Amino acid sequence: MSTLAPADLITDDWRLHGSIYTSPEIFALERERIFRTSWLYVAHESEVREPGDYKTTYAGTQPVIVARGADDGEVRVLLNRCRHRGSIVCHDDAGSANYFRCPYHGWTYRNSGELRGITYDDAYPHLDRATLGLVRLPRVDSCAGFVFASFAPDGPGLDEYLGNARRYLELVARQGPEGIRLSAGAHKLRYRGNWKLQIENTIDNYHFGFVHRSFLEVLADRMGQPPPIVDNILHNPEWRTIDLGNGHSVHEFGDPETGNNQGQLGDLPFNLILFPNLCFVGAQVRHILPKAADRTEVRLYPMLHEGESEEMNARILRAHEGFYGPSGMGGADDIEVAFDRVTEGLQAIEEDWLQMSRGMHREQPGENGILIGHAADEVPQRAFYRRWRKLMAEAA
Amino acid sequence: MTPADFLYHETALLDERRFEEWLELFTDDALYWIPQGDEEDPAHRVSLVYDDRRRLHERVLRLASGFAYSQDPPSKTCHLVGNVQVGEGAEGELEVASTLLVAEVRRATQNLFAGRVTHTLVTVPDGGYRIRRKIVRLVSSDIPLGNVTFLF
Repeated sequence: MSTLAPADLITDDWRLHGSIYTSPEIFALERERIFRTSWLYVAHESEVREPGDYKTTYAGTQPVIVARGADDGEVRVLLNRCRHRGSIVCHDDAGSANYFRCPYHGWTYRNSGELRGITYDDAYPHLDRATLGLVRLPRVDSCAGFVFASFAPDGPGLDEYLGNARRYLELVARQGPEGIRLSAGAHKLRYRGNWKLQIENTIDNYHFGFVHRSFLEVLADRMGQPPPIVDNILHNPEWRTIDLGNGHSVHEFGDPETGNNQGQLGDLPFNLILFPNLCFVGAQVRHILPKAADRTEVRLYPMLHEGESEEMNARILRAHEGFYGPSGMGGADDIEVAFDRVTEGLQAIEEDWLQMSRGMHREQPGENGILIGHAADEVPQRAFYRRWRKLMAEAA
Repeated sequence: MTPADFLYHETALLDERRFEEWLELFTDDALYWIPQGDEEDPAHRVSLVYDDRRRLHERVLRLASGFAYSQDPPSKTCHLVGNVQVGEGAEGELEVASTLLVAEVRRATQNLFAGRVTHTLVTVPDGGYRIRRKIVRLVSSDIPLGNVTFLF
């Protein structure tokens, strides 16, 4: 592994050291300094609408249950781990339950997390049951229907954490006439490679004309003329990248309020990255689940529009499937090139530095501390790594 | 040609990468569908693939473009069709159920896919069949998958 200190893995002239993507030690440090300090996306409220509803997911790298209290309707985020011997207590993706019962020895918890019952409990004369509920993440909050949780008991609240990104999250929530819902399930991807490769790729317009050239040919065939995407990326001044601060970033395809987007049906007028592992791209919520330094899973939840016709929502699903997912005509090419081939190439460590300086000289400051750059510049990637470096360099 | 013979022919075209000929086996109103998970409801649930004939054409066009990196190098596949059961369909149609195993080798990895397949076949005047619907129910459709861009 690199002997560089975390702060030295990114230079002032924006070279990145390859061990950021390959080192198990860096990954272990990320679990501590990124994922135990940040606000982490866990659910959209439409997934846990009724008391008793739950979904299982990951808060960063840790398995959790997001459950709406059967008694009080409060949304809690609970570690999915029995306090006895550690088994997950819930293995379904989603459902409704008043209790979670561990299959190993039958310990039972209310869906609020409290330990309800221990089987054959005469063997535990002194156990303090009140302290043995499923562990709750100390802070849970939501913005525009998106639920976040944090392992850190103290620190900035969610509003402050989101900062300039809050406006875009609220715009996402207003895509449908009556909002959005995540009721269509999710594409589940896995790849051999680091989780940050997916973040970078999500908001990288530089790659589109190259990796997705076959899809551009499909679009040309569909529309009878070459699509204007690459021309917009290179020349449209309304297509721009923005560092929103706090690690968040956005790529606007025109006015984010009105949506001057030339994408597919249901597509957002921007791509949005919320530090550390949530993205909005196309018509989807993209939740990135780091598994190991070289192993990642990704969930793509299509956003259906509340108050819109069934037919329109079905068309949103069809448009999503055409490009995204394991069999999509675009997303699979990202897996091949941006993840698999990069991961293989990064084994050549004799010269381990990479370039993330694209467009540095022409990024301009805007209001509220933001930085604005050209569409194909690496402004969003630098936004992410600026925050990453700060957190990684701080003493635990 | 029996319906089973037709399925063997169809999958042989895929293994031999004769995709344009494979495409010609589908009717103009065809559906090629790979649902995800047990809830099969394309109006409300996302699928891995839900191609009408137009999109199926695009899929084949993409593979032939020379720039479909997820198929560069291409998957080598071996389709095994078994347990063929021919049932009655609507007028002029046959519902053919089969079990499909596909071994796929790409780069240094071999993957195995399995599923139940339903073909809705229409008979054509020359004595053969065309595919109006092909539904591939993979047993692995709801687990995290990598690059699955070869054709079933």
